[in-house]
Amino acid sequence: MGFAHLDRYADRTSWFTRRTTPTQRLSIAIAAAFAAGLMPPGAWRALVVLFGLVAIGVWAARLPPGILIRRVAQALPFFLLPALALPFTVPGPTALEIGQLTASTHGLERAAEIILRATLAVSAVTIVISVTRAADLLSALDTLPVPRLVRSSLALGYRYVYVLTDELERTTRALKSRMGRASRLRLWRARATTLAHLFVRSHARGTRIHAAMLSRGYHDSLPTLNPAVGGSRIWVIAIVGLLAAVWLAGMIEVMA
Amino acid sequence: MSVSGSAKAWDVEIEKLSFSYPGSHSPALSEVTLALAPGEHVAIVGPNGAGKSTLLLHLNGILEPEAGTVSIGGLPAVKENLPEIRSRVGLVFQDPDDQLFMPTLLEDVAFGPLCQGVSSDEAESRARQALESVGLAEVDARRAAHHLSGGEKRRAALATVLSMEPGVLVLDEPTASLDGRGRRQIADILRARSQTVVVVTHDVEFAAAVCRRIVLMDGGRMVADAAADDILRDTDLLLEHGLELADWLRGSVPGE
Repeated sequence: MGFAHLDRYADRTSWFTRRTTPTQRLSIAIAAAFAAGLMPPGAWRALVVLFGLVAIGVWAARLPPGILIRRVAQALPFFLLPALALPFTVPGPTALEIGQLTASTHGLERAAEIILRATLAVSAVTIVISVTRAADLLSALDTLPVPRLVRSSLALGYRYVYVLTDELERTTRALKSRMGRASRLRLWRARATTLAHLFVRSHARGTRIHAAMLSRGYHDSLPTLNPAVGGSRIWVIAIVGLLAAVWLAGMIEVMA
Repeated sequence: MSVSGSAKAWDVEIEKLSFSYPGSHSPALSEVTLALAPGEHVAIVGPNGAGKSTLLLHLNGILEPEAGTVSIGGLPAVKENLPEIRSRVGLVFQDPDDQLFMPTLLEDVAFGPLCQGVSSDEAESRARQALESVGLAEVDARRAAHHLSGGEKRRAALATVLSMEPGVLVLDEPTASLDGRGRRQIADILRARSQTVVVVTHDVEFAAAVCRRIVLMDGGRMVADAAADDILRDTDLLLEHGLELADWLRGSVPGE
């Protein structure tokens, strides 16, 4: 049950989940990510407003801020590392010197802006996926223009991540029970072998799953039942409209 | 309601069926001939490597015969008939985690009917009936299968084929790693079925509890085909082919 935390907050009812369907939530998250990503450089005021909207989103979804921070932090290295190079590569007035390296003011500003935009985009998506069951999100993908192969891969991935982590846990336990006072190096070697075995077993399982699918009439794609219905279109239009207005304000702010 | 036990039963005819896995020197099946009447419940028992599971995979068209024929209700199990054959034969695999591959239990049980081309509403209705018929009506079917216990997973795997209303039910080791209560639940469900039932198992007591006829296989060949009582009495035959009965069933209590 290594991934049991995935749906931990998905069953909480909140203002946000009562008024929106998974498809609508996903649309809002995508709109927020686009608003953050497509804002012109230097639109600081608009970014602050977007930050406020994301904060309201956390409150409306009843997601504990600590959980959001922890989950966003997992994505942090992916945009933090490239952003850290900017102060030393973007030309401009010198802000500080670290040994042979010189950081420019413009570079620092660009790095801060990229980190803020990425944090906002990831936060918006994280709020939505935290308060929506993974299975409902997968159904929602059916109603959006997402290739069926991508949806099928995600669906099978979601189902089998639990099976694989359980299998890994069992084999690791069996390994530890026989390792005694083994050195750290030997332990890591054994772990690597365990992972290789898990890969081979996963391949065999994949073959068996395919046989099970064929035996029930599978031909080209995973069929799905009707996705969840309900929600309020007015609220979704209002939220997406607000995000579009913030983006527009950012454009005007830079051009003015 | 057909899902709960009155689907039309089909006869099964296997004629001189032979099969070898690629790269294997010995055949997995050698000239196996077997006929089952509509509604008959038959157990196939035998030691590991006897060819039992290989035989099952031929009934559903997952494996193609090297020689010989398989027909279900008079329809040959050949490539052009596979969609119909797979509707007639419901195959339950040994590991329920291979059978339960969709993100939610309801989608899993509705998968077969949806592949058969029935509407979403009809598929959901059949899925709910099938879950009820295996005693899982109370389980939250909108959750993923990893929330289920081992016994529940076995019954859910059975529901995935019952929803397809097959005329032949084929089960591979349905009691593997189940406790006594789990075995009894599966036995009760199978005894109530009016379809043709084929059960592959090492568990001779379970075979006798569910089926009146037992086929004994070893080394890819059929070595006995008789009434369950006769097979159970022939302990020499069972021992010769790597099968044993619990002492209590033979009337000798350990320690007495």
